[in-house]
Amino acid sequence: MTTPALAIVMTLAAYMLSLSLYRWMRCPSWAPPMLTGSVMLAGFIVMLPVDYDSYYLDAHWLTLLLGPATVGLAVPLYEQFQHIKQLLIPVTVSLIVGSITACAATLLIAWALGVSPPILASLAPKSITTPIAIGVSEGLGGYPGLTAGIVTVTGIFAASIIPPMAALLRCQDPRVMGLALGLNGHGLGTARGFGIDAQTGAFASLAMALNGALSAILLPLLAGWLTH
Amino acid sequence: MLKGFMWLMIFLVIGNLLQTMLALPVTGSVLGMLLLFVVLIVRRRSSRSMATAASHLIHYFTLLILPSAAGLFFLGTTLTDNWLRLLIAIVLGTLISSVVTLLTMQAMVRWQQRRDETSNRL
Repeated sequence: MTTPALAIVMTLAAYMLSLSLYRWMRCPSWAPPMLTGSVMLAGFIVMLPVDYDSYYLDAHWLTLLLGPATVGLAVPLYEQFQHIKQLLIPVTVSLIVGSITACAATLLIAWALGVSPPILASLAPKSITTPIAIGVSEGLGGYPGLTAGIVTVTGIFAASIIPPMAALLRCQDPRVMGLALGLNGHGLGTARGFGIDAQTGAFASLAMALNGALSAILLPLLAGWLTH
Repeated sequence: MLKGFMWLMIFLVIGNLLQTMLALPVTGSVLGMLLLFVVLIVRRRSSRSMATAASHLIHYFTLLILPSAAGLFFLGTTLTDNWLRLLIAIVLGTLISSVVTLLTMQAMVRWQQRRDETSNRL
C-alpha cells in the first residue's frame, strides 16, 4: 500500500529530520545525515504498512535524479581542472595506489575470513559510487542489493573516519583529504567533502569520478584474470 | 537553470545510449559525466545555468541516495549470515586504504612542491 507521494514524503521527512539532528548535534563526523537518515527511513518503512521493495519502486521518482546529479559532477570537476593539471602526477599516482589498495585490502581480509565468491564480487566495488558499483557487481556475478548496502556502509565509515584520521596524520591539505574522501567514500565522502569546503569537495568528486571510471575498467579485468 | 538541467539530461541520455550500444561495464550516468567533462574542457567554459543545475543536484546527493541506503536494513539472510565478516573486511579494508591514500597523496603533493621550487630556482 504505497504511492510515489508517500514514498517521497517518507524520504523527505527522514532527510530533513536527520539534517536537523545533525545540526542540533553540531555536525559530528560519526553521524552524517546519511546514517541517521537511512535508519529513520528504515524505521518509517517498518512502522508503516509498506514493504521495502514497493517503497523503493515508488521512490524512483526521487532516485531518478541521481542520474543528472552524477552527470552534473562534471561541472565541479571542470572548475577544479586547473588545480588538477598542476597536480597531474600526484593525483594519478595516488589514484592508482589508492584504488588498488581499497579493493585488494578488503577482498584479502574477506577471503581470509572465508567469504564466498558471489559475496566477494558484491564486496569488490565497495569504494565506487553506487550506480557504477551495482553495475560492476552484477557483471562479476554478485548481488546488487548487497552491494548497495556495502557501498553505503563503506561511504558512511570512510566519510566519518577520514577527517579525524587526516587530523591525526597531519594530512589536512584540502587536496589530500578531498582525494582520500572521494576515492574511499564515493558520493558520501564527496558530500562530506563539500560540507568542509569547496576545494575538498571538488577533489573528492574528482577522485570519486576517476576512481569510478578506473575501477569499472580494472575490476572486471582483475576478476577475469583471477578466475582463469 | 532549467536549460542546464536539460543539458545534464541530454548527456545522461547519450551516456545511456553509449552504454547499451557498446555494452560497457560503466553506467550511463558516469559515461555522461565523462563526456560532459571532455566537452567542457574543449569549450573551455561551463554555462551558468548548467553550473546552477549541477550544484543544486549535488547539494541533494544525500537525499537522492537515502532510498538505496535504507535497503541495507532489508537484505534478509544474505546479510544475517555474513554481516560480521563483511563489516570486519569493510572497516579494516577502508582503514588501510584511507591511510595509504592520505599518506600517498600527502607525499606526492610535497614531492611536487619540492620539484616546482627546484625548477623555479634554475
